[in-house]
Amino acid sequence: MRVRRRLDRRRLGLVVVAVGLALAWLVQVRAPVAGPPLYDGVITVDPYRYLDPPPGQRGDPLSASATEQPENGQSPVTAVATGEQPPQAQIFAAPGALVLPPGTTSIAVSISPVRPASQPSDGRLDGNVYRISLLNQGGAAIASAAGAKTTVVLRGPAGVPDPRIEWYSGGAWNEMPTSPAGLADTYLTTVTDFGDFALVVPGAASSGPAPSEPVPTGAPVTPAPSPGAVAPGSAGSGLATVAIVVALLLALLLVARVFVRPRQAPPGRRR
Amino acid sequence: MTAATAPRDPRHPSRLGSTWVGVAAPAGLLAALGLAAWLRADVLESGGDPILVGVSFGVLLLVLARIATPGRCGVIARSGRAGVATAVGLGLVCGGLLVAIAATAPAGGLRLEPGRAGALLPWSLVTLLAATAEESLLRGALFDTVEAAVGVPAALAVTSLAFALMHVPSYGWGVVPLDAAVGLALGGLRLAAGGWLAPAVTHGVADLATWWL
Repeated sequence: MRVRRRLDRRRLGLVVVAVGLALAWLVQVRAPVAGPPLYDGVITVDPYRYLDPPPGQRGDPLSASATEQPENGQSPVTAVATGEQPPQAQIFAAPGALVLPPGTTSIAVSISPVRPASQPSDGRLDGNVYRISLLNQGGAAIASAAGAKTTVVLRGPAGVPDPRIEWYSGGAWNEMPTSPAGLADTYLTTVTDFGDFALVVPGAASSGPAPSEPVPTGAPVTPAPSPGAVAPGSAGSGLATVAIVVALLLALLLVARVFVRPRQAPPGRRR
Repeated sequence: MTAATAPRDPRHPSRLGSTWVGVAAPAGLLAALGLAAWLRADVLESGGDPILVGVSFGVLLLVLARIATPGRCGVIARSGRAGVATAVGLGLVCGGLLVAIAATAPAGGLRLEPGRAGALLPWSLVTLLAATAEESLLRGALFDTVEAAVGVPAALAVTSLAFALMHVPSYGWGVVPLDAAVGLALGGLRLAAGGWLAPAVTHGVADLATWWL
């Protein structure tokens, strides 16, 4: 009887495994997660790479580019990210999300750190400005359909509270609806047009020197040499916060111990 | 009525003895898991070292799982090499399938990360610890307590949902459908293998693959 019950559980389990895997595949095909599908894992966050690094900070921010081919006249899944871990800039568009000019046979996507055309008037830049361009083979700009939820994701320097994404258009920085993207210091916004995007910390505008000349489209700035990597906040603050977590969870364990009683083995049965 | 004075269910002498304890145990585990996941994300967001946070998170989940099921191991269905081999084999097959799904997805694909090999070993160890700890709690302690209280379907549903929701603080709501589906597969693996070693192997393989995904 017990053997049969175990077999039934095994069969049921294998069916559930198959259903779960099929659903996972379906989700990845229909609504793919931007970037690696994280079931969990420990995320290592590289120090932020500045285009013009402050003293002691890291330089050499990475660019990214890709060329996509339309499928049946529609744009394919477009997911491009810079190479940092996690990426400092990403774009993600679902199939058919992009509005392709007639005759488009290829879509060139590029993400490059650039110097800002101007400073925002409502805050200060938090990290690099990223130029995101989508052009067809003839150089015509490609936009996203309204409501297609094409997403731009930016990661900023560690520990800056509540920055928002702004888009440079019409000679000024414009605030975009911004939400946290899950990972630390990473934020996303949905867009219909592309161009220059940056994280901006609200408040007084930067009093620093005005930026140099704007960089022409498609000509990213050569990254400044790296003065050496420094991992912000990776030592002391980590230990302190982990100690707090440990203390809180130990308290929780004590509470759980009160509620959860040891299991009793059935009479006459040894475990 | 307290847990200490609750009468035992005569039909299931090995199960938690009262409705109150039967509901409180999984609820307590869920609350602890949620708090731990939220704290982990918060600490990481405020600049905490990922390795230290990962170790703390993993050890505490293991301790919590052990406290919740002190009289029973539940790692594999049968003791001995055959039981371990079966669980590991099932786990590896399922893990391979998950990696294949991720690698062949439209936004997926394998990419090597040269120059980061120095960090691979500590990252791998902590990732395996976190995966094992989560499975010991979700597919071990929580699955057992929910199944004892309300049965297998509820155990599958609760652990899958908990698995998906516990990742929201770190990765956002976008991962919920995928993680719920993967959680269901891991729950099925728990049933098929009879213990949480198989889902832990699968979880570990899927997590380790993110280095290259």
